[in-house]
Amino acid sequence: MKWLQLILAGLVISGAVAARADEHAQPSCALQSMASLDTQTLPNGEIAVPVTLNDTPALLAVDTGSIYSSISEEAAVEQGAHAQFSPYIGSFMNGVSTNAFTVLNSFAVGPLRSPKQWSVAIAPDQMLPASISGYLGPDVMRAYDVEFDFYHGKFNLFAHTNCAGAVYWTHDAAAVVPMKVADDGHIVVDATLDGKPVTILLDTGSPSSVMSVEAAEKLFGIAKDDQRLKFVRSISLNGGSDTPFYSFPFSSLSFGAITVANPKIQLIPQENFDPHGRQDAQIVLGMSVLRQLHLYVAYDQKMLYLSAAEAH
Amino acid sequence: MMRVLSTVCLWLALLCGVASADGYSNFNAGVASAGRDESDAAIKSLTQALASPDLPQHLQAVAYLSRGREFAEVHRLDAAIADYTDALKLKPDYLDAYISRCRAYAENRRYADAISDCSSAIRVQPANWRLHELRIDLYQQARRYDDAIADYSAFIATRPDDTSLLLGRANMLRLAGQYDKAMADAEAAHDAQFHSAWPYVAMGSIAFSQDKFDDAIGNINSALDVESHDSDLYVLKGQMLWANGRLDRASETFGDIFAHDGMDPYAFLWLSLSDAAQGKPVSADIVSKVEATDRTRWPGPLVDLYLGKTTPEEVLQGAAKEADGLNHEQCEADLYVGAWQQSHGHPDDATRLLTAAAGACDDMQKQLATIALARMRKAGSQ
Repeated sequence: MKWLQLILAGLVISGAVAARADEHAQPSCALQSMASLDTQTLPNGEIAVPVTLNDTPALLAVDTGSIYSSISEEAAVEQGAHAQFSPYIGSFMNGVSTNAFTVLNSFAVGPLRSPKQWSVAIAPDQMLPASISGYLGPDVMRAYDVEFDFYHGKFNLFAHTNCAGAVYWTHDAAAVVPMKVADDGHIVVDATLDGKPVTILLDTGSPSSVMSVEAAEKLFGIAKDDQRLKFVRSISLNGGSDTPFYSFPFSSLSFGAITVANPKIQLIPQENFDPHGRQDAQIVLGMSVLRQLHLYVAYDQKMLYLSAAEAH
Repeated sequence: MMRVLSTVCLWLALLCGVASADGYSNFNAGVASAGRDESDAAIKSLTQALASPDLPQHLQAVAYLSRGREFAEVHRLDAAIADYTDALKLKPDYLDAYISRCRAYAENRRYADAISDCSSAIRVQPANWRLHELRIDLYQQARRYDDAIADYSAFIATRPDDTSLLLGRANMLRLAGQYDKAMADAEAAHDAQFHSAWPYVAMGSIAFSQDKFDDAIGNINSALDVESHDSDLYVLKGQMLWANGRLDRASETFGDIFAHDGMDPYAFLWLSLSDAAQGKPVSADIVSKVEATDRTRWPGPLVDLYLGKTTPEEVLQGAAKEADGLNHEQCEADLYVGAWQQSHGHPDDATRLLTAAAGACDDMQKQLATIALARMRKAGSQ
């Protein structure tokens, strides 16, 4: 569960990935494809895409819940990229922090290549399986519109569009939901969980979907001794302290016309969710739910287009 | 059935003949169950996904891999290995499948197969040090120390400033009995990282392997000067004192951990042995601290034995069930149950178990078992 919350201003991203969308802007409303990558689905349901770091092939997990792209400590050593340190770079969920970053000579996602050096955070090795070199974050993605086609295993980048109607892949039901794009690139949308309005952060870098026990108590009046609240397991979230997970049988999560039945949203204590009490979203929606959707994130338009994953 | 449905979507699906995607939804359900540690449900869903003709092709290999991991979770290693093999047939350069099959082979103690898979993973990503670390661990399990040393040497050539590599090689050289070379690496690491505890630990371990107990304890004291709150170092020092026959000092050292509000199950085991050898019980304060800890995970059963809450037979049976090729439950069970039998006046059982530990354990545990056996023989001959 990756969720880089803050990053020091001293970490300067040195330039957008080359061939930025706006350089290729076209007057027509036809979507302009910038890159189309095959994804590799990880055993935990997350997806990874092929990139090159200093012209060396690598796999990065796609993480809309982070702020900056990051690479593992080991990947940094492999690239000969020296770690630089700041007092505080940021923290992932469960209080796992990093204070290191490094500068890559080049960074490319498919045909899109950074015009110059690219700074990335360094994520603790324990957060990553050995086959994954890091995370692709919103610092890169938000320069484009991003389509997540989990069903077909595609990660597509398009030039920003301001035309209405980006749902090109289906004539089935789809929803268009306004979204907030925070300064840090996080995507927050409104939804309805079991009839109650909730704010949701889309986090493709999280295999599970979580909200805090305290938020669930407040929103739904779920008491701690509620019989429907079941302890699932306790794991070291992000390699940090052990975090107890509880399940609750939510019935539905709706984004406009699209409803996910029986969404697997687990509950964790507030101290693990965010010890400082985050304000932007009540639920971090991870791949346990997102995989059931086909998403098109129009960053400039601040609209989220979505349908069922299998819609065609 | 599709999991994502709106009433409109359902209506359209019925009218327009939207194909159901059982394979995909079962795959998602399987992955979600795996994420909740519900292995049986995950295996069922993934089996349904794999049987479905509409599981997208790009998910077939990962479905085998995921099901294999769940089989491994429930100790069905042969089924796990078969699934990893199917994943590799579909995707011959599948790094995660090689790593998973490597671990499964290792759990079955099929070290040659494990090392072969780990080497295949390294061929996919040659510069990935974490894969080399895994192979080195396997080389150590298989007691192929020279191969481990060669792996370290190759990386040291490319990362000369990385003292952890020097210390790793020093450890392998020590295990291979090449003490002078081991000490040279440890000293080089010490020169490069003067204020680190770990070169001292390496030098102490090398001295201990040569039965130079005073040198060993001196180095661990130096390490403790740097890392004064590391309970592992106290345990190591206490074990060295125990091996040197300085039982009162050993008890004092293990007790220091608890005196500073620490808790270490191994410290409790060794404190119990040291105190028993001096004819005294462990203090009630420490016992109550230990009783308050979670003992469901290894070495909890050993602690329960030493607390008098279980039997040697139950511990040995449990360890045999839990043991795998990368961990040391079986070795530890033989060592600690053997030592417990010795302290409880059962020399035959103690001899049998400590002999097994001396044969099966690696490194320090082997040495401690050997010392315990020698002490028993000496006591028996007097």
